[in-house]
Amino acid sequence: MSHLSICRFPDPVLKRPTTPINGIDAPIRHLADAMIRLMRAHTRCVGLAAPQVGSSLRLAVMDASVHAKSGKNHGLLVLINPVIHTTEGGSVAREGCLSIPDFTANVSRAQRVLLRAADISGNPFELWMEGFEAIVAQHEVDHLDGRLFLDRVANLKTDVFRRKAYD
Amino acid sequence: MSAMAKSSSKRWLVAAIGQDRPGIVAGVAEVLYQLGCNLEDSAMTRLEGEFTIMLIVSAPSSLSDERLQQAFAPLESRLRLAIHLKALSAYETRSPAKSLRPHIISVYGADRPGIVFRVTQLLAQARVNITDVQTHRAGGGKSGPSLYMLLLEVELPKPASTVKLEQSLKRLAGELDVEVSLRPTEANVL
Repeated sequence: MSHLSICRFPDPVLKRPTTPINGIDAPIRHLADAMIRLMRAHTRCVGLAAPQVGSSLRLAVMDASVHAKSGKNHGLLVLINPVIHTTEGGSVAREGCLSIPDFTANVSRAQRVLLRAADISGNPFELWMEGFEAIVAQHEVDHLDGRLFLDRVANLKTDVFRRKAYD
Repeated sequence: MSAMAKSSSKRWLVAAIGQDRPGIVAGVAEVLYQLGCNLEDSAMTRLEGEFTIMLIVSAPSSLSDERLQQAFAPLESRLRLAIHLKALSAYETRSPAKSLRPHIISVYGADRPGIVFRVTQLLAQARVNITDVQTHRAGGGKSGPSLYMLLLEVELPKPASTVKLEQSLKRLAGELDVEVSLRPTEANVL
């Protein structure tokens, strides 16, 4: 697992829902470490999900603090079996993904989420996240459900100035 | 615009296409400004090396087709622009009806011929009107197959079932080996 590389769409692993992890063993710890290293190796990467490195385990890593506009965040997190338990509000923001290079789109997400997961020692935790960090968490959990941000495009890029609605 | 202003002006669609270079927008805008025209709406973009302009302009009612045509002649030679003028009738100049349920359809997958045709053919048969289109292609070469994305803004006719439309889009997507989604448009709230 020392030489992970990024799987790109249309690699089918990206559209496959992942399998929950039962018991954290050495290979899973190594995978998480390697994913953190790979995330760090890409300057603007704030999260990485296992399918992006070819694994169908329900595992993701994220670190919203890396981003300049991050706002309130919990720094580096390893997420074992994460689920978005509750969502509140809505926001639209531009996203990109290492698995779909050169594409960005306006994506609609919840503004605030309650995320439940276990850490790398298997201890369950829950965190309220908001703004940028909430977007990252939703993007990564989507990966674990076999969904990509292009499945959630909210509007066309020109929509910053929506053509007038007439009556 | 007031009803009075509208009744005393004519409207045109002006299309201009030319090899991209500085000064195209300024050149077209200057011609229209000198003639007393007002720019009502526009879409302008560069496709590869070609710059394209579409404008809706309102003009003083005294402006004739010939005069407008002639005013663009210097630009056609100086910037090598292809200009197309379409006078809009009173009927055509009516604003479109308030959008029936606006939706976004996104289609993406490995690029192959026929994606745009098959998807839009299905939509036309379902009487779904397309109001905006964005496409993007990237990748290819060593990094794998090139990816193609088609984003359509559409208006669904009243009786159309979103569920049914989505089902037929998914079926077609399976045939074309692409991903498709249909969602109501959401505005940017920044």
